[in-house]
Parts: sequence; structure tokens; C-alpha cells
Amino acid sequence: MNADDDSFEKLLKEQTIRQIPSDWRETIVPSALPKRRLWRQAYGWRALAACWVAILGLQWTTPSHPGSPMVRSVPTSTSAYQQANFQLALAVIQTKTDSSK
Amino acid sequence: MNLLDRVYTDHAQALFGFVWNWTRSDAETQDVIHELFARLAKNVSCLEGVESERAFLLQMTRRQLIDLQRSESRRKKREAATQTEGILFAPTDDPDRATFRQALQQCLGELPPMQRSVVYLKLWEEFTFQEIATTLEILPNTAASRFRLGLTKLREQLRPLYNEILP
Repeated sequence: MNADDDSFEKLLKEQTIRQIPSDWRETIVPSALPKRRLWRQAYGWRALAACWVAILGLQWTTPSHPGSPMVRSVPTSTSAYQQANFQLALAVIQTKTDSSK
Repeated sequence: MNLLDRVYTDHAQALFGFVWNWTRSDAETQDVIHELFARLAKNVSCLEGVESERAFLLQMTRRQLIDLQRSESRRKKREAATQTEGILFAPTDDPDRATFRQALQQCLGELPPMQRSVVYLKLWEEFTFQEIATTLEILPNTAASRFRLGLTKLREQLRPLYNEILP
């Protein structure tokens, strides 16, 4: 490297780089990430809440012991209940009739 | 002062020069530095045990810049905006120096990004070739040859101007 190179290099080094705009710090340092973290936290809580709603929804819409044959044998429709009530009423009448004899 | 504040105080100026020299745009430079700080905030421990924070941050930034360069949409946008946005060098009252700085900025812009990064790190960050090699993930010899090549190109283009400035 000769003197010409050295002086040219020195001249280039003397050219100062512009200062970073002062208002950038306010934009960059708070850096949106704490907000993003909060957003993530909120997102996490919402996801957890949605899971619970889904679980409770499933709980309410499915029989408590779907595999049990006993539960399956329990009549669930309105007509079945009416039929059962009718049979019960018949049985009561029959009992009363028998006792009056 | 939290970690990000401290890192900004210590290194933002160097990052600014390095990134601006690559992107030639204030807006993109701000985006890149913002993204870097966002990454740091996500993983503050990444600076623990680092030998040279500045070299590490510049290396992270360089990787971001490479990704940016590869991004098709960004590339098209950049090609559409052919004009340089902003200035690299500080304004000066000396008209000769102002002209020289303007010409230097233009000549730097004509160098390939990696070459001008080497020139920037060597001249304005005073990195050794070893540090430049680590930062830019190239061999020290490559860094040295790119610097010499870049300097030669700059000297050839700026000779008429710097002959007036040099005593």
C-alpha cells in the first residue's frame, strides 16, 4: 500500500457518517415487542377460554356415560316418558281396583 | 436503562451506517433496524457471552439484509425506486467536501453490496479483516481482497475530486 492509498483511505475515513435520526429510538426501542407479547398473552388466554367452552359444550351435548348399556336403555323421548307415565297410572288403578275387591 | 436501550445507545449508529450503506434508503434502514430489535427483544439472552456485541449485531443484520434481498416483493419495490432515499454522510458547510461526500455516496452505491459492506466496516467501523470476515461470514483473505478492489474503484472514480481536496 503506497502513500497515495494511505492518504485516500484517510480522506475517506474523515467523511463522517450521518447521525441516525433521533426520533428512530422512540419507534425502534419500544419495538412493538412488549405489545406483541401482551397480544400473545391475550391470544393465549383467548385460546384457553375457547378450549374450555368447547370442552363444556361437549360435556353438555353428550350423555355422561355414552358407553353404558343402562343409560342407553333409559327412555329419553317425550313419547317414551308419556308411555311410562301411562303404564304407571294403569298400575296404580289396577292396584286400587285389586285392593277394593 | 433496559437491555434494548443500552444496545441502541451503544450500536444503533453503527447499525445505521451499515444498513443504510446496503439499502440506500432511510425507510428500509429503519425497517431492518426495527426488525433486528424485535428479534433481540424476543431473545435477549442471545447477547450473553458474545465476544463482540457490535460484530454479532452486524452479523444478524447482514443475514436480515440477505433475506431482504432474496425477498421477491421487496426486490421489485427496490428496483422500482431507483433513486437513493436519504444521505449516508453528514452534511458539511465546506462545498468541496459536500461535493466529495455526494460523489462518494454515489460511488459506494455502485459497488456490489458485499464489497461496500467490507469498505464500510473497514473504514468507518475500523474493523480488522478478521472481524469483517466473521461479521460477513467470508474468509479474511476475501475481505481483504474485496476491500482493496472496492478502494481501487472508489479511488479511480473520485480521483479528480480528491486531488482538489487533498493538500
